[in-house]
Order: sequence, then structure tokens, then C-alpha cells
Amino acid sequence: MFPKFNKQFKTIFLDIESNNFNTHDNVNIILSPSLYWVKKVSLPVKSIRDAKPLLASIFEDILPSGIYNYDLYKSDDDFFVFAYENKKILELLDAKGLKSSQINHIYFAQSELSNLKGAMKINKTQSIYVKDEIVVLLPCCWIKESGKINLNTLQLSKHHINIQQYTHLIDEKSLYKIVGLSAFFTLLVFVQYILILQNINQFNIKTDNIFSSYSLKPTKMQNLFLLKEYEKIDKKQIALRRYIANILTLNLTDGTKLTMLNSNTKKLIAIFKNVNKSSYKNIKMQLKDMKYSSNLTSNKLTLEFKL
Amino acid sequence: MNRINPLYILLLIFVLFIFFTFKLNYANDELSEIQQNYKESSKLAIKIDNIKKAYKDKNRVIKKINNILKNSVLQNIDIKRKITNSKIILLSNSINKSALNYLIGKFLNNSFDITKLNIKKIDNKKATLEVEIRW
Repeated sequence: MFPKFNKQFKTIFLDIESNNFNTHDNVNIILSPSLYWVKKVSLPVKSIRDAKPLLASIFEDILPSGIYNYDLYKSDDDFFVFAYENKKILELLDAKGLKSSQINHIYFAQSELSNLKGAMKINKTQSIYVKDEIVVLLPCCWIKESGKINLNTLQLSKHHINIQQYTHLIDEKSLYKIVGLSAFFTLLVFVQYILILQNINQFNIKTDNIFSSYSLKPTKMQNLFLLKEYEKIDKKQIALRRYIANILTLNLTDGTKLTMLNSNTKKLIAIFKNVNKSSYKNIKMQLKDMKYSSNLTSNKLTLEFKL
Repeated sequence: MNRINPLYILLLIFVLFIFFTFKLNYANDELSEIQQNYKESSKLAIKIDNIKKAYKDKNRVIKKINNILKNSVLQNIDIKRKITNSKIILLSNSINKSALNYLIGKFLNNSFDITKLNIKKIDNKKATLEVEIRW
């Protein structure tokens, strides 16, 4: 996955006829001409970037049915264009005992061996021969070889290809679209997350402002306790006013007089004088909706209201 | 093959997506909690403030009482005022019926924290009065 810096790799020539490669080292691969189609063409474009969209049409009607990847490089004013089957190469690598993680770069024989002069033996049964600038593979003995090529001393070019496991399942363009779309949604979620964090911060500031502007106690618990205390005061004051209003509006009979009203934070006491049974009954009738305790002794009535 | 595989990038994005989705859910929950806390704090603050203004504002209480005591009904009545840091005490050893009615009416109709109220009848026309109001 990561670039392998400053390392010398063994170079392997990959062909269908190759023997199994018993190696666990990382390697560079040179693809046999049997694994790709190549054309030298002159195109009405100057750059590789402009030429790329034309590649599929160049090989149209030539290639057998299959899923192809295309590549090219420029040589003087012409282009060498390639078509190859990703899946086929991957299967062959697998069949020859090479894992994709072992592969450093994959090259076309065309780009690496085109400077050969005459035929060169590439393995026990095959030779490489350059004809009209195109590298071709021949069975040995068809042509007289001038020697055997040592791939490990070969200075490899920059024209290598990337063979990915997935490209026969999904083309690279679609994959990048999916990557882009996923990145977009991830970005949306991230932006939403940042916005919510900002919102949280704003609400924290607002809550702090409430505490300072209303001079509240530092903790919610303290404030709840304070509110409870205040509500208790409010409740007592409402009760006090209700009791006093009822006492002062009593319709007293038989010379009954209110002689004392006494309240503290816990109770309210009202004392009446000249209270007989009938006026006591009258007072009780009028205060029937209230809770209180009463004591009638020697015509003196004491009513006690709890606050 | 030394280029970063787009599948790894996709996997990384997927992991990031899951990570931020979890963070987003957590932040959403936190936001709901903080919003709820803000609403509760606002309600609490307003309630405390209302009661505080009604009963615990020293200046308001003293100003109101001074206004009440300025009334002409109380012109010839001797009412002693004692103010401390937390309360005011009003004392009268002899207050007539109309002045008493006026004062009681005013005290009960204003939002004062009356912690002590003593009214004792002296005769048919006069009474003693002691009122303690806290803030």
C-alpha cells in the first residue's frame, strides 16, 4: 500500500508459460507481450491526458470480449497504447505464486525491452524480439538468440501500470465517484457535528448569562433550594393573608369581639372575647373551609392557624 | 501497486463516517440535554427573580412602607420605625381603628414578607400594633 523507498527489487518476466515463482520478496514485474495488446499510433493530440479518452476506441473491434484497462506512453511524436485485462493478470500472478502485496511495479515488455538488438532468450522456452519497434515474444529456436537477458540488471523505465484487485469489479472512475460521494457525506456529518458543537457552546454561554444576569447561586441544586425557600415564604404569606381576611370579615354576634391577632412565621392566633356557644357555633360555621384548632374557655375563644 | 488503493481510502472514509456519526449522535444528545437545562434554568431564574422582587428587595420594601406611612390617616399616630439589615419593625402603642384598618389593608395587599404581626385591643377605639417585615 505504501511506497517502498530506496529498495532494489528483483525483476520477473511474467508469461502464461512462466514457471512458478518461489519467492517471498517484493518484485517488479515485466509483462509478457502475450498479456497485453500494443499499438504504436499517431494521435491528433499532444498530451497523454488528452489521448487517454481515445484509448478504448483505438482498440475497438480488435480485442476479444473482456473487461480491459488501457494505458499509454509517448515516444517522440507517437504514442504506444496498451490494452490489458486486469483480472487475467491478477489471476496469473496468483497462479504463479505471487501475492499482490509483493508487487512493486508492473511494466510492459514493450517499454522495458524495446531497445534490445536482435533476439534475446527470456526463459528456457521463449525469446524476446523487437520488430518494427514492437516487442514480440517468440518460442525459442525460431530465431537465433544473441544471448540471455538478465532482467535484474535492467534499468526500468517510469512507464509502469497499477493493477488493482477491484478494477474488474468496478471501474476506477465509478470507484472514485463512490469515494467522492462518501467523502461528501462524511464531510456533511462532520460539518453538522461542528455546528452542533457550536450550538452546545452557545447554549452554555446563554445558561451562564442567565446565572449572572439573575444573580443566581453557582449550582442548580443551590438555586432549587433557594426557590423552595422562596416558595415556602410565598405560600405562608398567601395563607396568612387568607386567614386574616377571613378573621377580619367574620360576622360576630352576641357581643363577641376580636381582641388580639398574633402571628409569627409558624402560626396565627386570633383571640375573641364574650364568646358563647351560639357565637362559637357561628364562627365555626363561617370558618368551615379552614383548618385550625380552637379552644373555648371562660367565654374566651382562641383560634390557632398553622402557616 | 505502490499507489494508495482507493479501496483503502474508501475504508478510511467509511471509518471516519462511522466515527463522526457516533460523535454527532452523542453531540445531539448533549445538545438536547443542554437545551433542556437552559429551559429549566430560565424558568428557575424567572421564578426566583419574581419572588425575590416581591419579597426580598430591601429598597422596594422600605420605599413602599414610607409611602404607606405618609398617608394623612396616620398623621397624628405615633409609629416607631426600626430598620436593620434584614427587616423593618413598626411599633405603635396606641393606634386608632381607622388607621389600623388602613395599615392592615396596605400591609396585606402588598407583597411583604410579614414575619410578625401583633394587634392587641386596648379599648373600643385603640389598639397596639407591632409589624415585622423581612427581606
